Amino acid sequence: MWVAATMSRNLVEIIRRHHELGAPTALEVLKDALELRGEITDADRRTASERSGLPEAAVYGVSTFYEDLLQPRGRRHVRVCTGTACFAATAGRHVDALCDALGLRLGERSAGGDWSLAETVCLGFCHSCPAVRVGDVIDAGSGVVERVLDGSERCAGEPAPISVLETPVLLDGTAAYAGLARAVSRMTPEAVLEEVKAAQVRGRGGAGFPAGAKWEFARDAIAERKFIVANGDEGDPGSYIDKVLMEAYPALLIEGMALAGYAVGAEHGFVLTRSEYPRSKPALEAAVADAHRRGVLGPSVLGSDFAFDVTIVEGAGSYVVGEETALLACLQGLRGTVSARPPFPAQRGLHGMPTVVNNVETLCNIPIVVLAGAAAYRKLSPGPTSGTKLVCFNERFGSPGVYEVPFGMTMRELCQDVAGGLVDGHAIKALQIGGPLGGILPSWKLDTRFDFDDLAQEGCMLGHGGIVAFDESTDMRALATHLLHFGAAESCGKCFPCRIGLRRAHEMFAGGAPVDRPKLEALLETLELGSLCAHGGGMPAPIRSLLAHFPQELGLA
Amino acid sequence: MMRIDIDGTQTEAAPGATVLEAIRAAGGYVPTLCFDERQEAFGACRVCMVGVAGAPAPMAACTTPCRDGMKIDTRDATARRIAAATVELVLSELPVAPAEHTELAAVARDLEVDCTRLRWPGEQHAIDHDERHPYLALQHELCISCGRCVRACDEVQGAFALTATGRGLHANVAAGLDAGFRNSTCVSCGACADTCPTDAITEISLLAIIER
Amino acid sequence: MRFDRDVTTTCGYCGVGCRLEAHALDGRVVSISPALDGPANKGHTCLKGRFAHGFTRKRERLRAPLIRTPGGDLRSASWDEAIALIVSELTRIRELAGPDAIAGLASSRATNEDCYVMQRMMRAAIGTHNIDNCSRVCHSPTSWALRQSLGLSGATGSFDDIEAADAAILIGANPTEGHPVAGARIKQATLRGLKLVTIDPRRIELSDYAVLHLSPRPGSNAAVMLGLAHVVARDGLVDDAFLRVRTEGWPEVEDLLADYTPLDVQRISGIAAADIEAAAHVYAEAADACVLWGLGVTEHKYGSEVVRLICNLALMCGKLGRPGSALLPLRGQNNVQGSSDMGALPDTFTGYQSVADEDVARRFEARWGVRMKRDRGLKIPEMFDAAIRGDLKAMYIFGEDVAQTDPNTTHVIKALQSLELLVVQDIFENETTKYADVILPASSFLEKSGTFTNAERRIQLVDAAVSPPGDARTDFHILTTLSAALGHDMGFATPADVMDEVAELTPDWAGVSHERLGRRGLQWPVAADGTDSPILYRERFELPGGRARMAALPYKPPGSEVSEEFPIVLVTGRRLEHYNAGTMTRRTANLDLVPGDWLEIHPDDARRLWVTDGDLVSVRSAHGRIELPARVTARIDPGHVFTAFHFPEIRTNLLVGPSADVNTSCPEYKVVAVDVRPVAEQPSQTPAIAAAP
Repeated sequence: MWVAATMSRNLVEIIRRHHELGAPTALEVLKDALELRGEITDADRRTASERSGLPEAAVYGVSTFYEDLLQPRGRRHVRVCTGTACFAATAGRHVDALCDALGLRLGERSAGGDWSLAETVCLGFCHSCPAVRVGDVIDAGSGVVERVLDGSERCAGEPAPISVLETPVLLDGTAAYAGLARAVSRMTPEAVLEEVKAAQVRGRGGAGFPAGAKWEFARDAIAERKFIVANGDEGDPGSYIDKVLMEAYPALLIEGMALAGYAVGAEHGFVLTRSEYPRSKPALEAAVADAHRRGVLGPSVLGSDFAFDVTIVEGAGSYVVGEETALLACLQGLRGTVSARPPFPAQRGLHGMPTVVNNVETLCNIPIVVLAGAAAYRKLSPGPTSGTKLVCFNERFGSPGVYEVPFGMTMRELCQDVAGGLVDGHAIKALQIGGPLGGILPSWKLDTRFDFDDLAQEGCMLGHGGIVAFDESTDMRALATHLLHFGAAESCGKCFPCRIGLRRAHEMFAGGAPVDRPKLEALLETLELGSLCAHGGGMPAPIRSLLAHFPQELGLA
Repeated sequence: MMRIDIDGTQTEAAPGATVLEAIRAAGGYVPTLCFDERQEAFGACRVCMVGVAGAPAPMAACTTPCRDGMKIDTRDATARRIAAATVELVLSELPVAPAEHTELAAVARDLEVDCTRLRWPGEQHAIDHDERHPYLALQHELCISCGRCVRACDEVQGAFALTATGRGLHANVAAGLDAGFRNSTCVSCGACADTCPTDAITEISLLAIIER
Repeated sequence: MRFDRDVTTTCGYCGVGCRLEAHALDGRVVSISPALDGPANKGHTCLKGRFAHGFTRKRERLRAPLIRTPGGDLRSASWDEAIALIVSELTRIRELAGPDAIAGLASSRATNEDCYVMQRMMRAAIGTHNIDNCSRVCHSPTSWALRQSLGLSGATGSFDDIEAADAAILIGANPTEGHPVAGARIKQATLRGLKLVTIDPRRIELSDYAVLHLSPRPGSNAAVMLGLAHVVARDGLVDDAFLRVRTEGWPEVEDLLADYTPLDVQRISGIAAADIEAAAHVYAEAADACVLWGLGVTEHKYGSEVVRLICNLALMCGKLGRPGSALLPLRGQNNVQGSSDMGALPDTFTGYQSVADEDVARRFEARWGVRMKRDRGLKIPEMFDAAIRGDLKAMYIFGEDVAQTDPNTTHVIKALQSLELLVVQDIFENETTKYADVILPASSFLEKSGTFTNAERRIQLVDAAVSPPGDARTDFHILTTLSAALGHDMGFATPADVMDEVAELTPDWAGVSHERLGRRGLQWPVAADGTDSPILYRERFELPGGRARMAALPYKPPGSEVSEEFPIVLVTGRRLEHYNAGTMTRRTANLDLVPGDWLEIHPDDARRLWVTDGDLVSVRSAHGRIELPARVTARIDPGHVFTAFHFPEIRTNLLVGPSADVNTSCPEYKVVAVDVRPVAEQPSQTPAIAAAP
């Protein structure tokens, strides 16, 4: 009999039982210990095991998985962003500068414990690179290295998001909870679900899966309880869209989650935020508290029979946790490794219960669908895709920031008209769109339209909507090395092709030796066809682009 | 019952059966490394790849449910190529070749991969032996992170004494807080050694026995 | 290949009956792995089955017959000399004092075929029903009670019922240590939704996975079962149709239950009334539920009655005779089921056919060509009493270390010393061989062939992986040779021939043959066509009229009770790493894992008695005194202490008195009133200040 493989069913059951008794997750206890002492000891692991109910060995496994838990912290814990936008800005020179000045390698703590230096990907300050974090202060832009070294770091500013639409849709912010109020007072859960299906809302997290279909699976599943999970682990280097939504528009997300809960019959939602975004969790928690005060969350949502509440959980540094099964593992305090599907989270997710996992931006689209109706929502973009999309641009652009745009604009329009072209007269050599798993679009293909299918035809993807420009000075072999370093470091270690193959691919480029192209292509095929999730499966895409468009720059044999 | 076609032969599969179960029930063979019939399917090793008519790419037999009318090709050239390439990658992380009797060596033979010829130079596991338990030896350098020992300890014995550790190429396995079996909740049942496909966990007494 | 011989066999440790693959090289077993298709173990086994085989090649294995010299030493002898000596002595004693002056003990460690041959030798070659086996001291109450209540002496279902059940009560057993593979299956089931209630004076590991743990005072199990039944009846959870159609005796039980309200039971057992109520609902409201028990139920003065009360509960709820609804006694030794099935009992031939039944007796007489008495022989404790009286003059003890494992040890030793002839057939010298006149070197389960019957009545093949060491012989070989020398040649060439005779003489085993058992074995009763019985009593109970018999048995206090002098109750049990007398496991690296025993004591008692972790303590009962280190743990209740019985240097059974089950004489190992105090210092001579509370 086929019993499918999520994360350990036994551990999930043990976690569920302890959760019902109010126990924290092991990851939460370990994070607290780290904050307190700057490192994790076996005593902390034992405490985490006792408090969470997770067996000691499993706690040990968790403590060796997450980047945050592995880095010893000095009194000044410096985390330097090595995201792709920072790479595009400095080619990594800011990292070398910090290492040299502090006399530390990445992941080290000074002998006296004054300083520690660690790598982080990415801080979401792609609009003003490079970015460096000291404690919870994130400084960014020119002079940041010097400020960090002399202790004068300051919180970097963040540009306000702008809508290019006549009437802002996601970035309106004036009609908080109006959609939810309408739903619970005038619509049945089925009607909400039908509206979302009719609106053809596609997931904004990368895969573009129809949200309504996901909801329907979860709604049809029979279980004693169900959950809504907002995937706030926007780990794509170069993307800071969900960050803006969570930190500046948290009520929109909470409203979207409550609507999802109403439609599928879930009474509790969780948001998983990134530890690289230290402001997300406090912003969301403040919004949750406010929602409680206003009667939006709680046993009677806006006076209705519907009960809904939201809990905010922060991750601990893992890119792959953005994948939905890994995200659920992380949310339960387990190692953030990917699980084979089926079963899908909608069948067996958090605590073994049917769970809807939607990206933050996807959920933020729901209130508008409910308020304006599916027909109006579909008309927001001219092309086949419904609604609007938030995009963001890196520091190389003249006006970097988050913009709300319709689907279907060309990349040239986005880069020139929206983001103001590159700074200081630089020219676009290539773009990476939608994160590290997205292909690379050369400058001569900027007339490609920004939509799911158009980008796919060029080996690219929409992803989260982060747009990173590389200027004419970028060394494409260095870019390949940069991307594969990230890919290998972030591989969760579960499936064999990704676990080993990405390391081997990185080694092919990192050594400086000529790259054997047929051998590389065979390896890329193994990764593409063999990997369990989109991380191993997607990392070849930018390498394929580079092979197609910049072969002469890669040092091929 | 569902009707399926395996390598041109019509057969039946029970509702809920995976492609791998159907192939095995029909007497067929697909190489596997992370699969153990005593455990839930895991889908990590990616060597049980098979061709499925209509699918754009090979699929992992262990985690793919059968569908009525499915046509499965266990000898699909792309599937075998991916599986063989994956086994080459696995061999490249081991500083020593797996012993002849191990499942890894058998799978390599089936996929015509030479265990002694390394196709991928690069980082390998560091040699690290733990023989503090009277019966169980842990040879970390042979660990291929298939998760079978961890799942045996979890799903079969229920001692929860083992865990996967690290990530990426540095993924491995540990007992308890990585202080050996005896300092863990291990009940010495040996299910981990029994399932290990590389002898990364094995009986100490067998280490001395030379292959014939 | 790494090995030169691989055989599939059945584990010789506990009663779970794991099927094993034994791998041999150069005449030694070098590794054991679980058989993937083992019905009870499903590809799993524990550290005993898998690793604890090193004892088979220990230097101190008995390799040649030993005869005690007049000076009291042991000397090696040839088989011919040893057999001749035994024959001449037994013949002399039989002529002088009659055949009933001789008694034999078969072994629950040995194969069915060995046990059959042993009892046939005692009955046919010597002429006495003085044959018993060590199930007397463990599950004889289970065997007796199941026969009384339901008809057959065995589990009503299989281990597979654990996964099929929605709820289960586990009472007086600690399977994750005593029956590790069954324990693992139960633990897995609880994580998949099985609602488990554990009832034990200790908080066992499975209690952590249970929905409810009840901790009764030792000796109050009867009250607990009556309390559960009371709640079932009171709250309308009785299966009336089942009671009406399939049982008798319910009205009397119903009347009795009035006296066992949850509050009454709370007073007797110390369990909160609300927990009694909750547990009854868990069991009765489940669609399917099992009850599992171990020696914590049987080794009491009224152990057999508690088993009957367990049967009552299952009958009241109609939870018998279908998948997931079973009564599953966890049998202690690998063949404790089979040794009794084979008639190594003073009152029955094979398949529990009474020696007093004329038709049965004639059938056996005809087959064996002898005449036999119709009166039953002596049970083990009666044998020792008879020896001390001088009525019993010779014993033949096969695979049981009575001087180590039986209660009232001083009494046992006195009995052994009173004998004119003691023959011990074993694989090592032990406490009992110290009193033996002849010691015969026998074989372990890895060195012989035959069958074991596990706790699910499953008869499974045993196959030799290696030969016995030195001049040691298989038990089959020894016993058939001796029987022939005594003038009764059984005519068996192989153990398979023995099984054919068992099948011929035993209706419930009619279809059993070695060939038919195959890899998965068969669960008796086995019809002549080979159909076996994973589930008993689907349609009828095996009693006259086909109805189960309920028993209106009240709670009675245990035989050993706390007093001012002995204020603490000692409970004994097993440790995972060791097995019974430790004869085997202490001769493996398991000793490295757990090198000694300890006394578990609650922090409150420890504080009161000035005992800290690791202190040596003295444990004294009315019958003896032992010393061992203390381990302070909240898993045991205040007022109780716990230890195991695996170490001869500790001799836990010195503490156990003569109190025994009223129906089966099974010793009351599980309730011993003791006094505990530290021995490291003399408290009166060592000044000390009490710690702040």
